[in-house]
Amino acid sequence: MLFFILDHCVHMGILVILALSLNLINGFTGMFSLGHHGFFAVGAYAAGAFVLMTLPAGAGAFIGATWFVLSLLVGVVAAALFGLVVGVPCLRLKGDYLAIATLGFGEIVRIVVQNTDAVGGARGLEIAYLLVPRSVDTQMLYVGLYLGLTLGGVAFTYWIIRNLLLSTHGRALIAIREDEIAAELLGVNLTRYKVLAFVLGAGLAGLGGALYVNYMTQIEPKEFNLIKGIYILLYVVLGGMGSMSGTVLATVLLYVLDKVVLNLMPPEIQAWREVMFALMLVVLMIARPQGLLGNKEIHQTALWRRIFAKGAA
Amino acid sequence: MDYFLEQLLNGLSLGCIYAFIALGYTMVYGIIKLINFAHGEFFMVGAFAGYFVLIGAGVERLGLPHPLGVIAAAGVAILIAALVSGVLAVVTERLAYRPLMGSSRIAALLTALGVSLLLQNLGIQAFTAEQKGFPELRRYVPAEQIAELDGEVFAGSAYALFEVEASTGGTNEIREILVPRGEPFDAGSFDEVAGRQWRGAPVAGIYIEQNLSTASRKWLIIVSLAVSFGLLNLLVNRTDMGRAMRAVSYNPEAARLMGISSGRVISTTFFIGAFLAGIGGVIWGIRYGKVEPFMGFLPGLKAFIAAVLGGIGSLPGAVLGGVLLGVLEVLIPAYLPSEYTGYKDAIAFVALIVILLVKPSGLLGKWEGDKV
Repeated sequence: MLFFILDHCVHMGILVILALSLNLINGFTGMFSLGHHGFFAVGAYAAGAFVLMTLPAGAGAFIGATWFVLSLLVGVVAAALFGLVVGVPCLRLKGDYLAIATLGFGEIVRIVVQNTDAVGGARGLEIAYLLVPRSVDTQMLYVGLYLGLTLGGVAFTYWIIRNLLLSTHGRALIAIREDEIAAELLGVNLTRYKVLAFVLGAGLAGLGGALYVNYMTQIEPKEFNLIKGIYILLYVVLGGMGSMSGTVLATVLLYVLDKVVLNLMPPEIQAWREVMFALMLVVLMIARPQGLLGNKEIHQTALWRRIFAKGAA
Repeated sequence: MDYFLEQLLNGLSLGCIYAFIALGYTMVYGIIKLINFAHGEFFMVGAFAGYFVLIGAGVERLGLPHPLGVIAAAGVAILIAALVSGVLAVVTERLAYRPLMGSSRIAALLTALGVSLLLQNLGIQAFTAEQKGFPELRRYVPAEQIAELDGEVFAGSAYALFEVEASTGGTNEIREILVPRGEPFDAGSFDEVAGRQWRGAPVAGIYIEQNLSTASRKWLIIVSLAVSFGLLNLLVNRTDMGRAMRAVSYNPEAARLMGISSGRVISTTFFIGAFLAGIGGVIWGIRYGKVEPFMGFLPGLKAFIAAVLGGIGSLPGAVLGGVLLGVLEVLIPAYLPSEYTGYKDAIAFVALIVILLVKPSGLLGKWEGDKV
């Protein structure tokens, strides 16, 4: 039982990384990207292919750990580079056009991967266990280790985005979201900052992908479909575009709702899972388009202040 | 050369179906600047409506006369299906899009995505995720009337039909060829088959393949697009409603001040767009022979790309983009080694990215510049 809870926590952590990095692009910089699952896929497949092709046979624990770190780096760098390749031409586009172009890139990634035999094609990619082999005896150690690593990844992502946003560069990104033309008139280099946000968001999604492939060791192209991208977007939108704590909250809420609450329901209700999620997206957009927290962080909300009010304030 | 022409015709007919969908996309985008992702699902619902109309009418058991009867049956199915998807679009617009008027573009786009997923999954609940074979439009002759056919020459082949109970509970059809295309029918050959039984099932009747050749069917698709496009142009350019639509698309504020009810114009636009998508859905079903709840997603996306390709907001652009995309999608894989055919679906996206980078306003679109 504990194993399953921890396993779900690892998945949740990876989704939080993806949602946070998408929030940097969508929520803070105001560029509407629908291709985040593509960056996730690039990170996962680049890391996976790196391990598959370069891992020496009969590698010991040290080599395994080294290759694990290297594969994370490869995943991040590959996704960031891909973000640059996509970003530089696409960021000339705005709004809906950008959404469709990024969606196109996301689909192209999946189609290319599906047709490349070197990474397994449609059958999927399988890599070796780098840190700990997974078996009935070691599964607790395995999942605990990866939970730690994933939480580390989440903390890293949160930290890097938060610090960015508190810096001059982050202010520039938010200015772009609020009003592109005004930001440009104030001397914000639009292209540079947009590409910066896009590349960083893509790279962090690549980190999520690299962790994912190492944890699962088996991935298939069809996991990285548009539905995945829409789910990630749903987390960001429900939490509130421009609220990092909102994103985390929404990811956990929706994940628990999806994987825990619904799984306890009878199968007749479970069959309606997708319908309910789609309906939720529509109703949410109509009733509360700014999401749960809007663009506030959780400690800025009235509820939080009431509960955790300090002193007599 | 023959190969090229055949593939070109395939591409044109596929492109015409894309054009049917793209017209609706481009009209809706022109009026309310919304990428209506659910448009592909209107196409899917249209195809299913056509399927149920044809199944409900028992079209496979109707002894439809030669070409005109078959075409008339298809026409009736298309009309009903188009009305169904048109009404669905109006309802969708009222319930999901109208409350979002004035909110951010991202909220509207996400709602459209949500509606698309919702309709897809409702489709799965209603029709199951399995592919369904689209009813064939064919001439059916019950076993008793076979004698009357003696000596007749059919344009298509004639088959004897055995109805065998399938393990799933439904009935499967087993076919056995009686006469190939173009040979006179001999009742004697039927008697020979009639004595036989297929797993206990006697012969139920014979059916004669639709005597429209595949090529003429493709031509019919092209003709139906041309006719629809002509009528649509008349509607948009020659009627009051069309003028109102163009006015709202040009400047919604000014149009409202001139006393145009933008709500009615938007509803009408959705209706017409989905009507055309419904036509496309039934044609797709007849042409490719199967329907499923997911069928609308990829063609819908590609049709949107076609609309962008031709210049969004432009009706001739939607047709040009759709046809161009269809032709590219058929011709490129036709001349590539077979190991690359898996990349077929990427062609549309590559075309999209190229056009967005080279001429974002599309082939026939006008660049209006940014308003500060």
